[in-house]
Amino acid sequence: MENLEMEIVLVEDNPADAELTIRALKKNHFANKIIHLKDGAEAMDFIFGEGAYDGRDTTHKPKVILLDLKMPKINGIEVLKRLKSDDRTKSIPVVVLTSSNEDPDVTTCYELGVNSYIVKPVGFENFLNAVGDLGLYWILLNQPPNR
Amino acid sequence: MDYKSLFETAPDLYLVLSPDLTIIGASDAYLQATLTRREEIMDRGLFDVFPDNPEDHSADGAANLNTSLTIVLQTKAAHVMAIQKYDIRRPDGVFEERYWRPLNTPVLDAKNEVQYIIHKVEDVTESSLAQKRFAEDIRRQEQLQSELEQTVRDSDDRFYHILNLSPVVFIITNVADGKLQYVNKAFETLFLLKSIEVVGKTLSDLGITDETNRDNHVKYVKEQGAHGVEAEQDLRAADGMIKKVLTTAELIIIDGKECFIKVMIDITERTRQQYAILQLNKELEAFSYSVSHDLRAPLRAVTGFARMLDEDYSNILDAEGRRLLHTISDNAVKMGRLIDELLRFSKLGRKELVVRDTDMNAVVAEAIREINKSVVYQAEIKCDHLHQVKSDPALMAQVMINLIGNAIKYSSKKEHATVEIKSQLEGNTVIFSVKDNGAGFDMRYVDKLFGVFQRLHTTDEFDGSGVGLAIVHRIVTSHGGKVWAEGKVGEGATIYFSLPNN
Repeated sequence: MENLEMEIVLVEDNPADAELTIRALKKNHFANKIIHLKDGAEAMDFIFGEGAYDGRDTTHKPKVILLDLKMPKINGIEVLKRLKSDDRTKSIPVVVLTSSNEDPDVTTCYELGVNSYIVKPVGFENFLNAVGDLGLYWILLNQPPNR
Repeated sequence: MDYKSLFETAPDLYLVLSPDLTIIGASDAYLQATLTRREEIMDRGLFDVFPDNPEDHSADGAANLNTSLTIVLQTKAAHVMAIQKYDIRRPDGVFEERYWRPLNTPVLDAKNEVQYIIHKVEDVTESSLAQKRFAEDIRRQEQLQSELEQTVRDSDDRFYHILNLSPVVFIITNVADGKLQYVNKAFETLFLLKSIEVVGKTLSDLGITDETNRDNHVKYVKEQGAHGVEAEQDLRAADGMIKKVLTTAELIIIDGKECFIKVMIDITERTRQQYAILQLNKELEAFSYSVSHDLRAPLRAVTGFARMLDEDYSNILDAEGRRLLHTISDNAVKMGRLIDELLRFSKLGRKELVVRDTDMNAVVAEAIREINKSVVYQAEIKCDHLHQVKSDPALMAQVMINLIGNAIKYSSKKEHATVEIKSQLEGNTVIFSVKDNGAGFDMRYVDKLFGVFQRLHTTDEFDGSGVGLAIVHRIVTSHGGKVWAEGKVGEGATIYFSLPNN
C-alpha cells in the first residue's frame, strides 16, 4: 500500500503554495513521501481515518505534518488543537507554515505544543532547519530515493 | 463766709439766672467750659450770650432750654433736661460741638416766688461724641449689611446666569426624598424637560433613572464621605434616548437639610466616538492581518513560479527573456519588503511604550550586532560614551538599527566611510546624533526625509523602502522627543534626535 511509504503530510489549501512546497521537497528527493491534504477538514478525516479516509490504517503515522494556519472550514490552529489533545496523534511532530515572522498565531501554536514553524515561501533550507529542530533529519534523509 | 467766692470757685458748672433769664452769676468752671469771661456775660440775656449754632440747622438746644426754664418758672420745681447738643461759640466766632446734661433748679423767696434759677450743667461732650460715633458705626454697619445683601442678591443673579449658560448640568436634590430643588438650563436641554415640570419630583418620577440607582448613589456617597464622587450613569431623556453622563455628587447642607449638588457632564457623544475609534482600530488590525497574509500569498506565487520558470526553462529563454523574468521576481520581492515595512510601521502606532532606564551604549551595541547579521560593510563605526535615558529599549534599538543602517548604506560608496554616534546633554534633553560622510542630501528636501515612503535617492543609487526614518520619527515622537537632520550633497548627513532627560 502506497500509504505505508508516507512520511510527510502537507496540509495546505493554497495550490500555488502547495506546489512550491512540494517542489522544494521533491527537488531534494522527498517526492514519494508526501501526502497533500487540501484543508483542515480533509486533514482531520485523513489522520483519524474518517469520512473519505474511512478505514485507513491510522496506526501508520507520518514522520512530520506540515500545517498551514489559514485555511477555510477548519483552520490550522483547530487542527493543531485536535492533534495535540489526542493521545493517538499528540506525538506526531507538527511544523506550522506561516506567512510572517511576526504572526501572532505562532505564539498560540507554541502554546498548543507545536514543534517548529517555517515562514513561507518554504525553501528547502528552511525546511531542513525545521526538520533539524525536530531531530528528524537523518530519519527523513536516509530514506532511499525512489528513482 | 465769702459765699460769692465759694460759689464762683466751686468745681461744678453753675449759672445763676434771674426769672427774666438774665445772667447774674456763673462759676469759674462754667466760664471755662463755655469759653466765656464773667464780665462779658454778666447782666446779659441767656440766649443773647448762648445762641444756637447758626451752621447747625437741626440745633434745638436753645429752644429746649427755654422750654425747661419755662417749666421751672411755672412749676417752681427742678427740671432735668435730656442731653443736649448745644454748640459753643469760640472767641473767634466759630462754634464748637458740645453736649450737655443740664439741671435747672428754682430758688424760691419767702413768698414762694421764683427768685433765681440755678442752671447746673455737666459737660458730656466726650461721652456723647463716643455715643454718636457708636451710633454712626451702627448706621454704617446697617448700610454695609444692606449693601452686602444687595451684593448677594446680585451675585445670586450672576450665579443663576452662569449656571444657566453652563453646558454642564447642575441639579440640587434633597437627600431625604430625592426630590429636585433646582435644575439649570443644561438639564432642560439634555433631558428635554422644563424646570417647572421637574422641581419637586424625583429623577425616578421623571423616568430619568430608577429608584435603586438613586438609593445606591446615596449609600455610596454617604459611605465615601461628603466629597465629590464620580460615577458614569446611563440616564433617560424625555424622548427615551439614553444619555451617558459622568456625575459628580457632593453632599451639602441647605437650610439645615442634606442635599446633593450634582454636576453631570454629557459624555454620550464622547463615549460613542471612543467606541468608534476602538472599532476602527480593530478594523485596522484586521486589515493589517489581511495585508500580511492574503496579499503575500499571490506574491509568493509570483516569485516562486518565476523561479520555477527560471530553473526549468532557462535553456529555452534567451538573455533578454531571463532579464524580464528577473525583473518580475525582483519587483515581487521588493513589494514583499514594502508590505513588511508598512506592517511594522502600522504596528508601532498601537504598541505601548515600556519605558525604563536605558543604557544607550548597550542599545547601540545590540543595533550593530543586528546589522552585522544582515549587512556586510566597510564603514568604521565610532561611538562616544552615550548618556543614559529613560526609554523603551527595544524601540530605541530599532531607532539605532535604522539610523546606523542608513549611515552605513549611504556611505558605502566612499573610500573611507565613517559613522559617528554621539550624545550631549542640553538642558532637560539628551541629543543623540548619527553622522556619516556619505552621499548626504540637499537641505531643500529635508522635510521629506521623515515621511512614509519618501525617499531622496532612487533605488538604483541606494536600495530602500522609505520607511526607516518614518519609523525613527514615530518612535522618537512617541517618547516626547524630536528628530531633525542636517546634510550636504556628497559630504554626508547627520540625523539628530532628542529625548527628555528624566
